[in-house]
Amino acid sequence: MFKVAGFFVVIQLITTSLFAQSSLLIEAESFMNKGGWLTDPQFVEQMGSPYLIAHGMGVPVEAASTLAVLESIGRYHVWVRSKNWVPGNWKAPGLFTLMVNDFTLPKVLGATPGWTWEYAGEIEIGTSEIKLELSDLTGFNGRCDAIYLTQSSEKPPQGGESLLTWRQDQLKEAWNPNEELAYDLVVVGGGIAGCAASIAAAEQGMKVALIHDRPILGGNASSEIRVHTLGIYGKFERILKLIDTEHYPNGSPQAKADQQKRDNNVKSYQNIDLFLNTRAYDAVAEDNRIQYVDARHTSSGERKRFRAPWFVDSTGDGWIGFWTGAKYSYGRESVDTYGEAWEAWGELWSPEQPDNIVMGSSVLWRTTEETEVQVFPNVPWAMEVAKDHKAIAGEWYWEFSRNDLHQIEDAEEIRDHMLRAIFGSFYNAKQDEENSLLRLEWVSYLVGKRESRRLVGDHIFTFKDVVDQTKFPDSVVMETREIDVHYQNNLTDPAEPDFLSTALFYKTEKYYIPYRSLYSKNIDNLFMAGRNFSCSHVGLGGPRVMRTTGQMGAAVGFAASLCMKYKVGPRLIYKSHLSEYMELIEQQQ
Amino acid sequence: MKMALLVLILPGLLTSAAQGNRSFYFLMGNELELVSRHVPAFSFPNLNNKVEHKVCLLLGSDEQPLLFLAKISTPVCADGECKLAHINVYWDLQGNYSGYEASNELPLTKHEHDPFLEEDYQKLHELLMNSNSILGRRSITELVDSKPANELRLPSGVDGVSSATKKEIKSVVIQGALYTSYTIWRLVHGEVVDKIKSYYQTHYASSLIENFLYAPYEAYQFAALRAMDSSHIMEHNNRIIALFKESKPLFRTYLFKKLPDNFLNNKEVTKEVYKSFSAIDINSKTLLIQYLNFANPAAVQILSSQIGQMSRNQLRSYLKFLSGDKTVVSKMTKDNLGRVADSEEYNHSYLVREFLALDDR
Repeated sequence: MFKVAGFFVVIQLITTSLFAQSSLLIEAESFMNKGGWLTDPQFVEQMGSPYLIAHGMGVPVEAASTLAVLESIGRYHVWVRSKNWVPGNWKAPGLFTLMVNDFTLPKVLGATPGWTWEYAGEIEIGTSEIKLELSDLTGFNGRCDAIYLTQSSEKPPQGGESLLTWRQDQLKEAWNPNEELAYDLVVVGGGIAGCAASIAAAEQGMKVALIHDRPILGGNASSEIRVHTLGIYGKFERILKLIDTEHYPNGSPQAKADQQKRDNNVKSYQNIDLFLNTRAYDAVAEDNRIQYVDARHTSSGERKRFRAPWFVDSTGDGWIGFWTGAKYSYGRESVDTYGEAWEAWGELWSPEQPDNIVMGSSVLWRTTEETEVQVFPNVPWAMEVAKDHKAIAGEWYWEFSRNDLHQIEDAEEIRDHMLRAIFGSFYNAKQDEENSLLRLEWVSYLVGKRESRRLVGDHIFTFKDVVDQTKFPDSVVMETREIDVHYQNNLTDPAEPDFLSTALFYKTEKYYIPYRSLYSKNIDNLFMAGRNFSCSHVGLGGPRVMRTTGQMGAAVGFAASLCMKYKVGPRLIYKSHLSEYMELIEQQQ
Repeated sequence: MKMALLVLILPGLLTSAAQGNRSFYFLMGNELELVSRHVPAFSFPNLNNKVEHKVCLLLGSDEQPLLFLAKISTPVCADGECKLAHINVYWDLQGNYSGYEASNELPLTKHEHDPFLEEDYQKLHELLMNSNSILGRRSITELVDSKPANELRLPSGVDGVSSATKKEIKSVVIQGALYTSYTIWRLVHGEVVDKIKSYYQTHYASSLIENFLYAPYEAYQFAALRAMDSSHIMEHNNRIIALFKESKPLFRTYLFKKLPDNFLNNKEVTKEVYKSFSAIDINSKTLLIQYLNFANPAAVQILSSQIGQMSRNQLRSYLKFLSGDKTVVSKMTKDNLGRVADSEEYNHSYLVREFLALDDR
């Protein structure tokens, strides 16, 4: 399915063309044939839309194409919304061209800094049905958001609210979906936590909607990002074994087998309706109760409204909580806020005064050895980041965080910084004869986040809970893995690359997380599971690994089933039904 | 850094040093040359045999404390076989490892009693310099993987799983001296560290603040700043500015957070601090832009000549500040903005062009 604006019947076409200047907006992600281009929906909230990206790791990808229908034939101005993702004194890395019917517009696109409309030129179009084709020239992450053909001389809006409104007008798209769906539980985010929550709730008889913005499940554990799951199973071994991974090296293609397992297992639940490639874009609460979540298909743009008595925010970035006014935190608390000092590491562990520093995001990658010499092109635009660093694979410590970058608002820049680090470091390594046979086999284009918004619950889980090994009456998650908090290496040694990190490990025998950290303090029907659960910055250090977040998800799913049984909100499960809840969890072993 | 034999011989220490026959590594400056006497400080237990190791404090002729030192003889045991390892270890006044010496007459040994080679001593020093070593979070039973080596091979030759493996241990310890490496690291970075800190806190914390502030060691500067209040910091403007310019990013960030709001009121102080913009790390640059509200207005013009050093978000913050208070935009600032707007070298010049276009409306 693809979406074009101004699609009328033929008679309307003719009539319109006689009296009006026609125009047509085509979202690149709605292309019928994407060729080797990929749909990237990660930064919709910042730049306005999913887009197509030519992630060829230095080899131009196959062209993407689509058909569209114009209201009238004639002369058209052609605009393409794109971005030179590394502006500078070099040839831009992500260049491409646009072909309309059989004519390739001479303007090379992807050359203008920042997300912007590039003017591709003027063209005479003699047929109402047209073919558009995007041809990648470089293989280095050229990106196309949308194409706009217009007989008007007016440039489309540059960005912000005006672009958003204009885009909706052009696409004849209402902000509110026409289609409404009702469930017992709506889970937003299909990472390990969201999958576990869905399974647990479904097993207890709830009708569940699981909304996920990727084609496959697992989030950071998926074969698209490839972080292995760490931690213990706690009380939920049976459920978590359906969706976790083996302990292969991060970035390993072995992730594909676990992906298959996970997708098949989740899909096998009759009462989980899975909405893949669907990204939530809004949620509304009234009287501190979420009424619905709105979501949009990442390619077709089709919108759906999901209503339910209870919702789970497992988006990682806490979007549902954010949109509905849930309390949240971001950055590092002062050391005294929750008593989280570790004297040996001082400011690196927990600062005297709060700041906006968080653990960074990773982009994993790997190479493979071929039998013939492999050429990797010069990447001058990457060297400012990579400098003289050489590498032939990436691991968890390929991580980037900086105090002027927000892990949500600047995620695209963070991802792009990591791509430059990877391509530049690999280029450096390729200058050595010993690496001549190496080829970039896989580089993720999805940014694997560790930390962003943390929604606030009735209990904020902290490092002190770990040190004290506090056993709560509602301990539903347990973990034995170390607490590890990361810092960027260049903080202690400015000569180090800014994209490498070090982990500080605090060894623990066992710690517990209470159920009260898994529902919102001020939104009455909102659960959270995953890295956006209620915790401090240091408190997140341990439980952010994915068997632990999976435990959170399962615990939330079972709690939701009791919410349905008693028609109450999450807090009352703790206050009035705790023994039954804990018994239900014990039965899962 | 491997240093030449020092002239100073402390009573009761390695006699072999007198014969110029030792391995000696030291991270600090001339502290050892200043030592005139040592006094017993405390002891800490060896977890292998419960023997207490005595730690002494080395003092200068002015009675100022310089270093802590322990002469350690410890059994290193594996598979029921134990050997004694002899080593003298130095710590600074904050409990950080500062160096060691070992006599060649009583050399450290490896598997089958082979003596350490020079590179082994060097590697030991490097290992001890890493207070974040994986050895700190592994018990002695976790050092050797019980699985046969061929089961540990990872596919496609990729290594480096994030949890501890024998391979990870192997990369940090001295080949053939696993248990020696482990035992010494645990002693150097174990309970003794807290005891040194506690001893320092009890006996010297208040009297050494200024010494520490002017010392060339970051750990001491941290300790000084932690103990100083706002008025105290204001008394040391020049030192604070010097530290801001010279320090590592982590310390610089801490320093900035400690500054009283009025520290940058003074025009000359502001100039000194903001003139360092191009020379400091990117995180500290962000802080300087964030602190424009507290700085003397001179800072705005200084930064206008450094825009080419700013990241996109830093530039946005700077331009937002200018938008909020047009009175701070001098003619020179505006000229500098104009030059950046025309620049083809600066990646984000388009943002300056947008800013100036809005400004002209």
